[in-house]
Amino acid sequence: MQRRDFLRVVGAGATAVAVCPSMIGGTLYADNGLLYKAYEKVQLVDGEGNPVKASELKAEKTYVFNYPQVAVPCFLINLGEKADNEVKLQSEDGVEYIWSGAVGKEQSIVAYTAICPHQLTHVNKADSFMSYVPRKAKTMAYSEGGVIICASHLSAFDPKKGAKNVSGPAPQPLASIVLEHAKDETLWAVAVLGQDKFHDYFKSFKSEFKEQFGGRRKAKKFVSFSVPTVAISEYTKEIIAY
Amino acid sequence: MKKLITIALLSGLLSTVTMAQKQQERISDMKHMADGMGLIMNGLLYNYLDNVDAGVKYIQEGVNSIHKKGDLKSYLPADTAYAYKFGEKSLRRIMEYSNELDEAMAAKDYDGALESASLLMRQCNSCHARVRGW
Repeated sequence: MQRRDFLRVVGAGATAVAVCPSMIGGTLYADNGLLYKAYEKVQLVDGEGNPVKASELKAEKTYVFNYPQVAVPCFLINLGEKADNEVKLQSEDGVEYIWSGAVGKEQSIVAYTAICPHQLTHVNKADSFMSYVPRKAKTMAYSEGGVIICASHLSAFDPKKGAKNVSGPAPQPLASIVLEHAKDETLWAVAVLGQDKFHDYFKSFKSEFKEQFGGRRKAKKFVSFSVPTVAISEYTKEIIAY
Repeated sequence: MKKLITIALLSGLLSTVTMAQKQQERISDMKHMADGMGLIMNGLLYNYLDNVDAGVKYIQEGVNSIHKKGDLKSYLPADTAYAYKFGEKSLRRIMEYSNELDEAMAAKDYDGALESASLLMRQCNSCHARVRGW
C-alpha cells in the first residue's frame, strides 16, 4: 500500500471512530447503518493495462475484475440508466446499511462481488453460473430482466438497488464494491460494502483455487495498484444462465 | 384409424415404462450415495477410517454410475433436464469434496475432514434443492 493510500485509510478510520466509537478491526460500523471494509485503492485497467474509462463502458455489458483478493470475482456494469440512491439494505444477520448509489456522469456504473450469498456460486475461469440479464431479456429467476441472476438456485439481485436480493433463496444482497470515479474518467475500487462471504468462500473451493490460482494461499493474496477488467466472455469459458 | 390409436397407445406405454425405469435408476444411484453419506457420518463420529473410506467409495461409485448412463439431460427428471450443466458441476464438486475428505482423514486432519464432509453434504443438497424443487 502506498503512503498516500495508507494515510487515506487511517484518516477515514479516524473520522469514523470520531463519529462512532464502535470500530472493530478494519470494519467500520457507523450509526447511519454502514457496513464497510476499506482495502487498498486499486485502479481498474483493461487487458492491456490501460485505465478503464467510465464513458467507454458499454451499457448493459458485464465486465469482471478481482477485488480485494486475487480470487474474488466482481462484476462491473454500466446499467445504461440511473440507479437508485440511498438504498437501505439488510444483511443476512439483520444488520442494516445504506448503499449510496452508482458512479459515473449518468450515475449508472455499479460493481458487486460475483459470489452468491446463498451457496457461494461464483464466476470463475472455467464457468459462470452468475450473470447480468439485460433489461430486454428474460430469465427464469425473475419476472423481468435488468437483474443479476444466480443460475444455481435461481436467485436474482437488482443492480439498480445495491444488488438487493429480489427473488430466490439468497438471504442477502451481493456485497457491493465501492467505486471512485475520478475527474479523468478512470475508475478505482476502494472498499467492500455489505456483508461479504469471503471467509466461507475461501474455505469451500480448495481444488478450484489450486487449479486456477496455484493454491488457496495465492488465491487469498490481496490485489495491488491495478486490476485487469475484462468482458465476462473473456474472463470465463462458459456462461450458464436460465 | 385403429392402427393410429394402437401406435399412440403403445408409444405412450413405452414412454411411461422408460420414465419409470429412469426413475428407478436415479433412486438406485441416489440410495447408494446416501448409504455412502451414512457410512461417512458413522466413520467421523467414531473416528473409524474404514467407514469413511467406504463411504467415499460408495459416493464416487454413484457419481461414476450416473456418468456411465450418458448424457445428464436424459438422466434428470424431464422438468429439470434443462439444468443438466448445474448437475454436471455438482457431480464434479462431489468428487472433489469426497477426495478432499479422504486426504484429510489420511492426514489425520479431523477438522479438515469434518469440513469436507460438511461441504459434501451441502453439495448433495444443493443439487437436490434444484432438481427436486426443495
